[in-house]
Amino acid sequence: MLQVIGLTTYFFSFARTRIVKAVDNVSFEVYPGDRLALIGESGCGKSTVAASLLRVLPPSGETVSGKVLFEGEDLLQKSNQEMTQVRGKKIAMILQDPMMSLDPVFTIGEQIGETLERHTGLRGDALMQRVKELLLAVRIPEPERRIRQWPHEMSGGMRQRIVGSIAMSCEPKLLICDEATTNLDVTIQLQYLNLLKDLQKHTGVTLIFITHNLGIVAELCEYVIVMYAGKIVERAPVMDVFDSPAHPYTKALLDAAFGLQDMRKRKPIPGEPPNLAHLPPGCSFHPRCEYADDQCRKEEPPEVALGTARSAKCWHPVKG
Amino acid sequence: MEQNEFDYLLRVQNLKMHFPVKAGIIFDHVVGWVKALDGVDLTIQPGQVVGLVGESGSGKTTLAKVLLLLEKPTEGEVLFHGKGIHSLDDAELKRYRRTLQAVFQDPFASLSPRLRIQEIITEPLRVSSSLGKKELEDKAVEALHVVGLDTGLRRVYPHELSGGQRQRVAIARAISTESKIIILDEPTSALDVSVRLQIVHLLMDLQKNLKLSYLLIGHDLAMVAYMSTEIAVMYLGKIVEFGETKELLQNTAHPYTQALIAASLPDHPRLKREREVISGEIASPLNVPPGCRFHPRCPKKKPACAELEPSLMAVGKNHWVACHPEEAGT
Repeated sequence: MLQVIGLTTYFFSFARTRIVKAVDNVSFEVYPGDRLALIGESGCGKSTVAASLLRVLPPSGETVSGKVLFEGEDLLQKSNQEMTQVRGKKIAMILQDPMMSLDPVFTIGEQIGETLERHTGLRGDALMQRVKELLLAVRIPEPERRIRQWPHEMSGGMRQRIVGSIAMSCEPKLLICDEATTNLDVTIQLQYLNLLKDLQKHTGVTLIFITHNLGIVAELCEYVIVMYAGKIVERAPVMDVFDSPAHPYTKALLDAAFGLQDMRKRKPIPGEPPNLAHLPPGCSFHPRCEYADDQCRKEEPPEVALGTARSAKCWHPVKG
Repeated sequence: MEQNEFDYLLRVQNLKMHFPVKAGIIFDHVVGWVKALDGVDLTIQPGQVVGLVGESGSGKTTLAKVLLLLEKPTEGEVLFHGKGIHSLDDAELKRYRRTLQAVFQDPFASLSPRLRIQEIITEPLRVSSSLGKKELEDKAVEALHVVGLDTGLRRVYPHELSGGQRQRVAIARAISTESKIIILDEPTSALDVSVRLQIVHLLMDLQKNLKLSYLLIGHDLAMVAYMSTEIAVMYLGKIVEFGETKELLQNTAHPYTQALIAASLPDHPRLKREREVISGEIASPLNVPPGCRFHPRCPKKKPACAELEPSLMAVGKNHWVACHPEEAGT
């Protein structure tokens, strides 16, 4: 359904003398009905992947090579005009901060209606009827009253559900959730994740979760892609990732995560995330890796297949 | 006054912080009260790490602000060596400020961009003591060393440091006065996931080696449980459950704490389970529900819960809960 081939996005600064390789030769596939997780820490390039797919990069960013095949067409070759038919209609996105995604000077009803008006033939009463249905679908009671309210009258959880209803309004094929629940309280977060699961059950929408929270991955994802310093370092089905992480970085992330079910002493990852403008030679993770040797310091490791649907970009994958 | 006279470092008694809500432009009048804190009792003893958890709007940060003398409470007292912190004289106030320090969430906002690291670390000392230049520098070097930073960094400005390094500087500042209590307000939330645990372990080591006490404010129950010896659960301006970490997690008594634990995400996909999510959202502190403030969302509510406000009662050794017992409602 979605095939990303060799996606490479750079950010340029200081009159193109400084290059930040935010996404470097990233390839992956998404199948209909998937629940894919794209994980990694801030600055690893996971959000830039999403922005590159939808072609909404900031002005300093540029996708320098690669293909994004969606339903057989390369999104990177489309004109801006054609892209407006994809964004919001076929691929929708939910961002972290619902305060920023909603416009404070339009009512809830107008904001949900805007997307529908652009992409469907609905107008007038039929439009408002559909808006109310959408609000009920994201479990917001009394839609009649809500459509006349403003974003500031809602709580954070409710705002994020409204963003969800806008995203789902045109029944997209693919929904990208970029840290969609990070700002929510735990009880509200679980309500929201359950809501997304239900929406998928009813509409069959494919979900990509971009997150650093391993709990969300464990709770509802099926397949996991781990990114570090702009590259994919591991990909595997969710059970394999948690049972036997192959890349030392994945293993280190799991060892460092807090858990209520496992209260043993955790193991921190040494060092700090690398500067994307000055990446270390060889494997980007080697300065922080406990298994690193001379080869890791000099040569960049290839992505090696480890059984079906599994691979790791490492010279010395951890044995399960 | 002798240090050992009191077995606590800080005692919070029936603390209330109500903010007025005003209407009108010239002749403004109070139309309501936001009850951010509504009767909080809490004691911090030497060596304790008290975790304070609760949803946004539960009053965690307001409590920290009152302790830091940034807000004057409407009612109640915070006792420090037997004296209310809002009636300390100048000398006592200096001592209080030296004893109590804080580390905040965002190290990009909490360090002044115009000061060098050394000035940042020694600023609380400059204010509260009469140390000379050389002694201040020694203190800065020592503090940097303790938090695991290169001592050469004392000459740079904060923008040259990463988030993790900045948070270490904030911690160095907090321990430079030989403080006894540090308020940690979401100390790792703004950091990269791979750096968080480094900071948590640093804080835990310092706590042990320097015999500090912490008031740890956090919304991530797993992180708070990892660090704390005691946990206090807050809901709408009140502590609804308090207990030793292990006891509280094993014999969770309050339905709200149970809901928080149930809503936390699994460590492993195999551990995930179907569970009831409590419905609704935290009520506005402008409009605190009568009776038990949690009853509109409580899955176990009884008729009595809507009328009578439960107070904290012991349910185990050093384990307190504010919830009507089963039989009371029937």
